[in-house]
Amino acid sequence: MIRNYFKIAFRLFKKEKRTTLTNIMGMALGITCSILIYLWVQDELQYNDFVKNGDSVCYVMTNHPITGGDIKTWATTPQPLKAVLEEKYPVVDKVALLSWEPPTNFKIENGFLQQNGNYASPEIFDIFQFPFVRGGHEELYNKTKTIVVSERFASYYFGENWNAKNIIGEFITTDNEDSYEVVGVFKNLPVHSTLQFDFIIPFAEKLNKNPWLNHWGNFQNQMYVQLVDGISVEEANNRIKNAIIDNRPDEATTEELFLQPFSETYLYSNFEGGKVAGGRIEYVRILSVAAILILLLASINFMNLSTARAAKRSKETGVRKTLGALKANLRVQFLIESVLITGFGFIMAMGIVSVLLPEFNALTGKDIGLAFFTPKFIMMLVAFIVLLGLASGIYPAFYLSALKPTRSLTGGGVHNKNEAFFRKALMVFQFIITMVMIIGATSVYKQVSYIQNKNIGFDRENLVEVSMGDINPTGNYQAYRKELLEKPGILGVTPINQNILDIGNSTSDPEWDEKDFNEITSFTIMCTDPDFLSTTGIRLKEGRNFNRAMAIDTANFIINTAAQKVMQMKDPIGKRLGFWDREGKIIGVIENVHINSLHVPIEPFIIRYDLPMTSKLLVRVEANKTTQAIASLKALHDKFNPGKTFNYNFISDMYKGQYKSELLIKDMVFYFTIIAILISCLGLLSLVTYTTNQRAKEISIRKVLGASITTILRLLSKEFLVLIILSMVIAVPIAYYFIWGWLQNFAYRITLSWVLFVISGAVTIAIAIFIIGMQVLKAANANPIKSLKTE
Amino acid sequence: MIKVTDLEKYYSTEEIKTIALNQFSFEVNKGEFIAVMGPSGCGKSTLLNIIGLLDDLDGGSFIFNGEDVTHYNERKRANLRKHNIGFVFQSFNLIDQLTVFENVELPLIYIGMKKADRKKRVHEVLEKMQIMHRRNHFPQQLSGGQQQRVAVARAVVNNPKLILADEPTGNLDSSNGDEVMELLTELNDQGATIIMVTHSEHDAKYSHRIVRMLDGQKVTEVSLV
Ligand SMILES: Nc1ncnc2c1ncn2[C@@H]1O[C@H](COP(=O)(O)OP(=O)(O)O)[C@@H](O)[C@H]1O
Ligand SMILES: [Mg+2]
Repeated sequence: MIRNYFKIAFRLFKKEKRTTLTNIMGMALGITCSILIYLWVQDELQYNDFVKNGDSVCYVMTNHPITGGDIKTWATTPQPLKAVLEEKYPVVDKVALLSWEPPTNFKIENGFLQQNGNYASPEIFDIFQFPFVRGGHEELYNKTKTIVVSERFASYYFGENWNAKNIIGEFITTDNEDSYEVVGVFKNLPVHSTLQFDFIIPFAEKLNKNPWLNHWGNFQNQMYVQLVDGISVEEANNRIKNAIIDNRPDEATTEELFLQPFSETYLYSNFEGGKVAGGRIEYVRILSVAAILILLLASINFMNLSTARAAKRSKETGVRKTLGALKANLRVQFLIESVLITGFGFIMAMGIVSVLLPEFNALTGKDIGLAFFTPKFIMMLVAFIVLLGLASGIYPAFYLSALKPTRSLTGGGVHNKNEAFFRKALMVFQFIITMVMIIGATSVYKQVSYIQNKNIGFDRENLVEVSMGDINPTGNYQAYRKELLEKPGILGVTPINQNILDIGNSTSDPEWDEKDFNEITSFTIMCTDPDFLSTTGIRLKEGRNFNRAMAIDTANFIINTAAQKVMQMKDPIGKRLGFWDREGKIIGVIENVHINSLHVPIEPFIIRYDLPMTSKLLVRVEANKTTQAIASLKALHDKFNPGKTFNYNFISDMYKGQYKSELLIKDMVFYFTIIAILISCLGLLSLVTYTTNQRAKEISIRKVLGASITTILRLLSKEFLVLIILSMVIAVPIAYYFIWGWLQNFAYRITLSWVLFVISGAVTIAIAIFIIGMQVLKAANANPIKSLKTE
Repeated sequence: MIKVTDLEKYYSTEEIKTIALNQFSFEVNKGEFIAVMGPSGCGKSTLLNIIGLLDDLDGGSFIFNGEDVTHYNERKRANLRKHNIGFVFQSFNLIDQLTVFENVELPLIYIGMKKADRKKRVHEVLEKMQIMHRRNHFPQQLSGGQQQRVAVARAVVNNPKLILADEPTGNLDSSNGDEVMELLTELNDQGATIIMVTHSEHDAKYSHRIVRMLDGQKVTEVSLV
């Protein structure tokens, strides 16, 4: 019996090649999307799950209340907190300190090796248990001036065959002439880890060099804790929340602590009001929902086609029933067909996935291999395919098997109102999904281009950041500057103390007359020189720039409009302002400039003429002459920093880097929407083809009676167009709701105008009209005698 | 063998209610060959469908082979049908995706006969219907007469006690039509009870008794033997 089912299924597929192929293709596209999204989501979820007792390892975050009731959350802690947590808080088992460290240069034969690493306390090895291939971490803390490195580091530094050499006991030297003895080599950290380093030096070294780190006011280190067994994160959080407030001896503070499980640090990295507020998890969710919707589209295609074909199948059903088939027999038969279609779609999808995987990896920046084709994965997929097949086939199966044989034998099953309604409802549903996706993709695209093209207050193109190296900002910098400006392609240069796109340096110390000391306002600070404004292109709104000739200007300040606002100054020029070691006046006001990401509002910003603090150079290069300019920069760098590595970064690239997830989601949503459109179009195409075939005789008779092609076109398209417009009406508010929610992630965002919705709808309708028109025209143009004869 | 009393059957659409059978009663004995005649739309097919257990009835009672089947559910009806009843339709109703052999084999599959037995039985019937040489053809590749012979073969393959034929010659020319009538007569001679709907007085002459209908009711009953 089963064989008979398969046989008839295959013959049916052969006979209705086009319908079957569209069905399979739709399924294949849907399955391809979901496999790709599944792989991506799996990869995302895999982060940080390498830790053995993952639930009890937490990252320590601090909440810093600022003016206006807002709270900033940072992954930084003061060093003395470690001892306090260890001694006074029994819920905490171990505390590990880890410095925040810029890349370090190590001397190698003829140049430098740049590596990322940290200074860390010994507990980091107890908590994470990084496996060692040579030596171990014990020796690291038994001696001074020691270092452990990763296998990767070892192979860069000692050569590919470092394994064959005895590198334990060798000394390696940084470009600051610090030498460290290698006491161990650890396995490279897992790729799926937010914690990444290639070397570790004992934290004590850092403290020796920077004794000020011992101060409670310096939130400079990362901290990981391991909780005592059986203590929940929630409970621990309650206990240690006020650890800083209760234990800081020198002054009263407001910083609260909270613990984030290490397993969540990757996916939940946004904080609002001192609480977790999503992060990449939102994209995991968006794409998972997209995968489900796309699958739904594909299976709706199948349902629609199968029930539409019911008229053709109803004779077969009727005959089988007459001959004694039970409903159950027929259901099994139809389900086998849908599982077969899904199966073929699945095989096709696997082919497409293996072809697309490299592209997909390039798009998402992942390294997903074919290794996921494990027997377990295949088994899971097969189960999934059978389920999907059953889900898609269940309605047609029940519908077809319930047809009365007496009616199906006379072809009476065709004009069932409920069934037609159901089919239309499915189609409307499908178009709602598609349209929501189109509107969503368009909005995401617009928001992301808005970010990319937004005037952030200065021209980020052709702006290069280079390290200062050995150049002394108060010494030979002037000579360097003079020489550099003479080189071709260089338009300007200014020393700065931190990345212009991500100024982490903020303080609430500034004082001015009439300051309300009950309010804490945080200002970001840029230390630079008079060339800053001309190099960046930031314009003065009021007042004047720093003047090199006026020694007093090093105590004066330029502020932005946001700072003016929080200081509540009508006429700020000449007003007193002071902080840290300097007391001076406000001499200029600049427009608000987007220093940090567009996710957050513009912050109060103060520029100091403070050369000793600077450590980097910002260089304006001539458009079209960037290669030349970089060469000039390198030449000069090599002259002033003999033997040191030359690094440079384009600010525009860094800017893009800030919106990596948005750019990724833009691309993914774009491609998946295209696929959704394709699937829906396939469905529409075959449904229209089917309907026009059904009405071939009617069309012929109408033509014989003198109907024009336009009349017929209008007659046949009307029904579909009404449905599509209905879908649009329903889709718009749904899309609006979701996009509005997503846009709340941005402090600066596009306004959702009706134009966007109209255009998205118009595009959908245009595509639909094209598909409907093509098919209907074909039917309308057909020779009427032919279809009349075959009846 | 069949006894229907006061059969009622209605069809309701949104607009109208059609009475397809109205207080229809009649009896058929084992081995009889009945012809049902009447104008189009008078309820002949409806009657056949009910007797063939394809459709349920809205009123009256139905006794089949001594069993009261009036209130049988679909499952029970299907079971009774596949063992006892064979159908022949005007439009043949062969399954386009199956070959001649497979079409004829289908009823045997549904009654769960073994494969080897099925093959033997199908060949036997195909020989008898003189259609053996076309066993691997698909229905579309056959002429109307040949298709109807296949349909008859399929109707009799499981040795049904009752054969229901709804205008079996309606789509055939007269020589092909006669051929099918000969087949039915032969089957009747071998013991099958036959109820046949027809428009043709010529075909009706092959039967033992003619039942004439009008507007869902029986008008006359004439015995020819
Ligand atoms: N499925 C149906 N729905 C509605 N009316 C039907 C249906 N089948 C038959 N009828 C109506 O019932 C009456 C009897 O039909 P039928 O038994 O097919 O007549 P006959 O076979 O004698 O031509 C007719 O008026 C027909 O229109
Ligand atoms: Mg009829």
